[in-house]
Amino acid sequence: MVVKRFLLLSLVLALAAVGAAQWDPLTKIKADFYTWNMVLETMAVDYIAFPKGDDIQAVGAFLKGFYWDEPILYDPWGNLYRYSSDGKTYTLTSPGPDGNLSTADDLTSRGDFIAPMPLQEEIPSNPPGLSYSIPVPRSTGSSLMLSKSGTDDILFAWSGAGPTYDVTGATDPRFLNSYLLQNDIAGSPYTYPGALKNPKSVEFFDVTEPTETNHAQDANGLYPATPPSLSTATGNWFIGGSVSVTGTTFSEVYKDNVVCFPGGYCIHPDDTSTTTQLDFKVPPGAITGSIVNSIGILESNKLSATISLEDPALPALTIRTIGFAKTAGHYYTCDLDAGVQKAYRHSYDPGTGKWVRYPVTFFIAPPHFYYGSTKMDRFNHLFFVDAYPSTSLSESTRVVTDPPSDAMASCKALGVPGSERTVKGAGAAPDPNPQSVAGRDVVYFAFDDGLNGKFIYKVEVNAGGCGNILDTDYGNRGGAWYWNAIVGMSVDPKTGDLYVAERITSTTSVVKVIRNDGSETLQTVATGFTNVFGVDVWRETGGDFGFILATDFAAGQLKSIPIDNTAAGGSVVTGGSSMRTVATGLTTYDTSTYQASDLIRLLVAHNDGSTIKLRKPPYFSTDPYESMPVNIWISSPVPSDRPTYQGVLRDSKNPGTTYSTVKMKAWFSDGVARSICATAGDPLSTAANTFVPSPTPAACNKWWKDPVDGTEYAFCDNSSDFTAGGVGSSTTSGELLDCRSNCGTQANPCVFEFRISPSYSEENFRYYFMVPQSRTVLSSFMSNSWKRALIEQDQMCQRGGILYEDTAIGQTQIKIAKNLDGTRADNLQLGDTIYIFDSQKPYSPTSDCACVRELDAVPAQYVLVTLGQVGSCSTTLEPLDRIYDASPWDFSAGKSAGVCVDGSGFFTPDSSTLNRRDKTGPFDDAFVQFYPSTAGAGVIPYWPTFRLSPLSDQASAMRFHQLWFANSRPTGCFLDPPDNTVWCDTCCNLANNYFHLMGMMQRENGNWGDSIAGSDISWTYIASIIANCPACSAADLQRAFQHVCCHEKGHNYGVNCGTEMHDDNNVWCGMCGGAISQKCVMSVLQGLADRIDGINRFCCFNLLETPAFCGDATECGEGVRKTTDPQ
Amino acid sequence: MNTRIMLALVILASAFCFAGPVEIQLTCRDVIVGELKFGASAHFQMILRNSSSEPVHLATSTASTWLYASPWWSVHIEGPTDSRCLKEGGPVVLGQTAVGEFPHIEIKPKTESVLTYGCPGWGNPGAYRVWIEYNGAEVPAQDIYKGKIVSNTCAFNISYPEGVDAEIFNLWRKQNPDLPICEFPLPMDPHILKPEVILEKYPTSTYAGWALVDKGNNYLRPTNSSNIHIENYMKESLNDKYNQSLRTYGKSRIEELQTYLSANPDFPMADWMKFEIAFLSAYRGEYEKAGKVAAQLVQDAPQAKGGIKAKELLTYLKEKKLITEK
Repeated sequence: MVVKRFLLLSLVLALAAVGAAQWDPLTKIKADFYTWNMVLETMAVDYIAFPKGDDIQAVGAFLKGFYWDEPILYDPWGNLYRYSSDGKTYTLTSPGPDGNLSTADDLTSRGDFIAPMPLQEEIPSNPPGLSYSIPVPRSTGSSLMLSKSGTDDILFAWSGAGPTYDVTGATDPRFLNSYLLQNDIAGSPYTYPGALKNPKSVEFFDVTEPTETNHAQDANGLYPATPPSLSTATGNWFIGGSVSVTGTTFSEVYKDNVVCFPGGYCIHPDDTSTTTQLDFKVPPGAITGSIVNSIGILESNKLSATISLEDPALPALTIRTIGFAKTAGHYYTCDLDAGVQKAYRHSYDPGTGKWVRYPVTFFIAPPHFYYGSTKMDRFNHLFFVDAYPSTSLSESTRVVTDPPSDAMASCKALGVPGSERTVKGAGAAPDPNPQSVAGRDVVYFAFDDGLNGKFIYKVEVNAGGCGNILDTDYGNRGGAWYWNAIVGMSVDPKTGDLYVAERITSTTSVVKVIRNDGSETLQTVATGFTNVFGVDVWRETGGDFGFILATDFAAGQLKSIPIDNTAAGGSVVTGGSSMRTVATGLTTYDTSTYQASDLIRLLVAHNDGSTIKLRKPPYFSTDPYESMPVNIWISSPVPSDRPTYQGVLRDSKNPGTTYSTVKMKAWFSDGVARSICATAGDPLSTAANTFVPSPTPAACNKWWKDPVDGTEYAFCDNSSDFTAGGVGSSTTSGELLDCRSNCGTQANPCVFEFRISPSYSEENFRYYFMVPQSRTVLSSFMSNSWKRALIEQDQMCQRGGILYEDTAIGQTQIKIAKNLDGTRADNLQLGDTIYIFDSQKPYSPTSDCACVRELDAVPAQYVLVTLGQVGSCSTTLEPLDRIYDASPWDFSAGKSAGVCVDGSGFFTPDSSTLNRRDKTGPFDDAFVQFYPSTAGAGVIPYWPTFRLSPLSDQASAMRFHQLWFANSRPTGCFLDPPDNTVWCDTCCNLANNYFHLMGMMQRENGNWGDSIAGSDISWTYIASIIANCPACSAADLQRAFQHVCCHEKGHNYGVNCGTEMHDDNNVWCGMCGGAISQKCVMSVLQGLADRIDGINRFCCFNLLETPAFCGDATECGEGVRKTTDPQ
Repeated sequence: MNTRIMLALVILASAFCFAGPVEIQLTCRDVIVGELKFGASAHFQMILRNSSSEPVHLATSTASTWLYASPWWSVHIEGPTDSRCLKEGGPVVLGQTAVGEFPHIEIKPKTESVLTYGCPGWGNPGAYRVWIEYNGAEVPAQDIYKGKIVSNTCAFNISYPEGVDAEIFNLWRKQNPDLPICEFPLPMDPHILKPEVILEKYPTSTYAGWALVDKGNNYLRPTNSSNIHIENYMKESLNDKYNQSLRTYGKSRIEELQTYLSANPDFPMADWMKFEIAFLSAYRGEYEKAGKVAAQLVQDAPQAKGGIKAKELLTYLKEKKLITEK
């Protein structure tokens, strides 16, 4: 960054206004020095140095043409000026009237050039909060201490007796969003690297030694998955550029990775991605900051990436000014391009996904060159001034941006006519006048008219171009402005105030404002700069919030100052070398290639060396997060277990009466309370295997208006209309737009709460924040809706039996039911140690325990078991301590009891892969987060051959399940729809998100598993699976168990409508462009190999509501994401 | 109650148009409106009989109710069906699950599979005729029977309820004036499909009879009739170590069955109720009473399940001289 210091002799400063055509020698030499300085300053803006050396003729040859028509090499007495420069300073000397150097009449001018600061480290756009961790000691034997280590790390130190420890983290106090940090690590301490780069400001940790129960373990005894980790970013990070991010534990199904940029714009990586590398093109809408990769509910650390507008393979430009054409979405730059003066229009090309350049024809051909405005007038003109120092008047120009005309047209001549001074345009700034206020259709031009001074013209504008000059000395400085070669100027769209950068001393710049109140009052509004070149101002007409952006060339900084809080002194947005210019812009739109709703976000474009960098606007922050899809639960059987950012989590038992909500807060980091509005919309889907755009109900709140054609944004793939009081509305106002006043500080943030769709997972919402009466989005974030389901998972003991009838306290014999055909249904043996339990007094170490002392199988309906005391079985009877209720085999009396043989093992289902995105589990694809709860999970008595046919047996089986289903909501139903002739009381379950999974031994027909959706029950038959897989390894069998669980839970969600219940499609990731060719988990025609290969995914219409989206759909779709629980 | 209508009819097949290895026999019976939903559907049986010495595979759909949506099967119904009752889907069969890569059911050699069938749309009063066809000619799989099989035609009537049954129906109609009859008895307050409700509120209704049958000891239900070994039970009944549970149960069960039968002597499952009374009486040592009930049952319904089991019981009682020969 550069600030140039110019030290002119004091006599030069005394000559502020000279208008005579016939100059005396002293005046002439002063004018020569002034012009030399003007030219060298201008040149140094481009080259960041003065011409080195002492050969003035060589310097003159360099400047000639490019920066100066005819360099003045001789003083008024005909002597050659002496020039000397080391690049940082220059000295220009006239020998004086005597023609001899180093005499008393010598006249000297000096100029200092302050080189830009070295490039500073990228300043995080979202620094983590200070309250980075809250320890939650869940381990009674451990004391956990957390401390910050280095820049981003957290140091764990704990005390305790265990030799190894597990560390799990979560972003919510209930450990709903848990992740595994380390497993079985020894000793203390442990450093969690990069913890503070995590986007959350609060995390919770659990350190557990082996003898304790880990809080994050599920009912399968498994730890949560390790989140993806981002390590390095490679490639050219420009819009449309192919880049890669390396790291670990990415999903091997590329579409399951969701890469999000600041502001919440998210994409899926390309199909070349691997588990350690994500490949993608930088999308339009991406801005500089931290990127995150999310896989289901797992979220990575943040990785900084700096996004440029253009391909660096394009010729490097020395960018002097940037202007944004708001309606067309183009940028216009004034540049030095490989030694040639240029101006370009930069436009997004949907075909290539990149930005391309179109040259703008100068009004006066090079060597003339131009500086442009940052904004348009309301007639879509951008304005320029001719910055080529010339003895003629300087011509201001304009271009029509929409539709673009890439030729400059004349506006007004700048300078004092006939002065014959060297005139040079320095800056242009139209009043955007968005509300068409009379008198504000004007443009301001700054120019330097040699010794006549520096002035700002105020010129009328209209649809046809430029009108009259309304003021030749705007600001009433009498030509006494003191500014740099490029004058940063910009007009506040709300007030019409003109902001101008001015140099106070060689190392001090300020930003001043000329009030548009008729008085032309001049005020200094921002100080502390070294050398400001570029200034832009953003503010919407409806809001107080706005900011001044200024590029401090020498300080190497882009600074911002809140317009209504200039006393705060401003803050650094970013650092950068050679930073000359800045302009606010909007993410460019192209509805054919990406999401229009993302495209109107405000951003900051600034140059940095040869490129245009894009980043988020300053000061405004939102929570919960800005950069990832926030996972919102839309329903849960336990609505109190909601993430902290949810106001209401809908109880799945009460469909239709309440909405789940998402809470968010917004604040300004400068501590000023203002007004802010929020609304919800649809960002279209970031879920894998969806089709956008798709037909929409009521366009899901058409709040966005296309800046070009004025049409309202009308694409939406959400399933619900956005209505006042309904989906998408504020819980406070009931309206779709919720505005708040006098809030928005960190201590008192504006809090918003919006309702979301009650039934549909996968639907995402984008929440937009803006100032009142504005449609320019300051910030946004996105949420994904998830159903939350809890599994009550039971396992059957491998030996035991079902109690035939109720027991009484004190009895020493129990009856074990026989099968209906009189054969034994138990596998008890003499001497077995058994536990007796029922559905109300579940299996536990405190259950009645006895030894099998006698077995009498004579009775027709039961086996009589005599109980002995464990350890003295043959000598001492063991009376029961409790009553156990039994009612085999139809269980219609509402009771079930049995016995289990101690140490016999269990038939255990494996639900561990329901929520994996490594191909093994399908429900993350379905946006259903299954959580194997420990509540109600337990042991069921041995039942050797489970029967679901005929219907009488099915009714018994369902009652049995309901009795052992602690979280059931039983109701009656017909067992044979659609015929509806067999009624079964209490056999079905009211809509709920609590599911039952029972591990059984086998069924009479050899099935691997069964499900009845209406009762939320799945059975897996472990022995049948083993029998059908005789050559399987233990790992194969475990995968088979997992496969059956995934399959059966799909049935619980009613996939594949009608009574077929199955399909033969490929998994979605094979069908929809991925590399996996595999049968859907709901296929029953797949071979054994497919069932044990560890790939358990749905086909696309199992996920979606509309099977027409699926190319090879062979069945109608129900769509786990869309339908079924909660009904 | 209309005893004429409620007289149980079991219509056996008399003619088959294809003399192949497999026969399809349909059974049905006259019912009153709503009775199917209380349990009478169990008596609409489809018996697949394989007379050959090889297993026979019949193609099906993959559905558990494999008749549904199967191109190889067709169900023909004549009668006053109500299109509002058809809803989605079609006829179903229950009792045997399809297996195999090409979905099919297997009928083992020299055996029969006794399944139940049902058809949506049944409900309106009137006369019905139903027959079922299988045609495997186009089945694109080996080891599947390619022939055509046509069942007998089974005819039955659905009648309006009378007496206490009509009270229930009329209450439902009052609560649901616009629903088709096939929806009866849902929805309804009180929820008479719950066994405890129907038995308490309308203990003498036809509908309660089904709940009463269903309420019995699991091992002594008509669906388990083949597993009721009279001799074993009678031996057990003499051993006080084992007989307490069933004897205690038998006392109350006999009472509730007798109460019901006294009000509904023509209930379609009266034969089984009477067998239960006879059997439990014998188990309790009340041989004369058991013999009397059984003898009458053998005389009145010799072909019914209850009659057949009663004959076994009677024979045992006579052989063991536990009753007086007459």
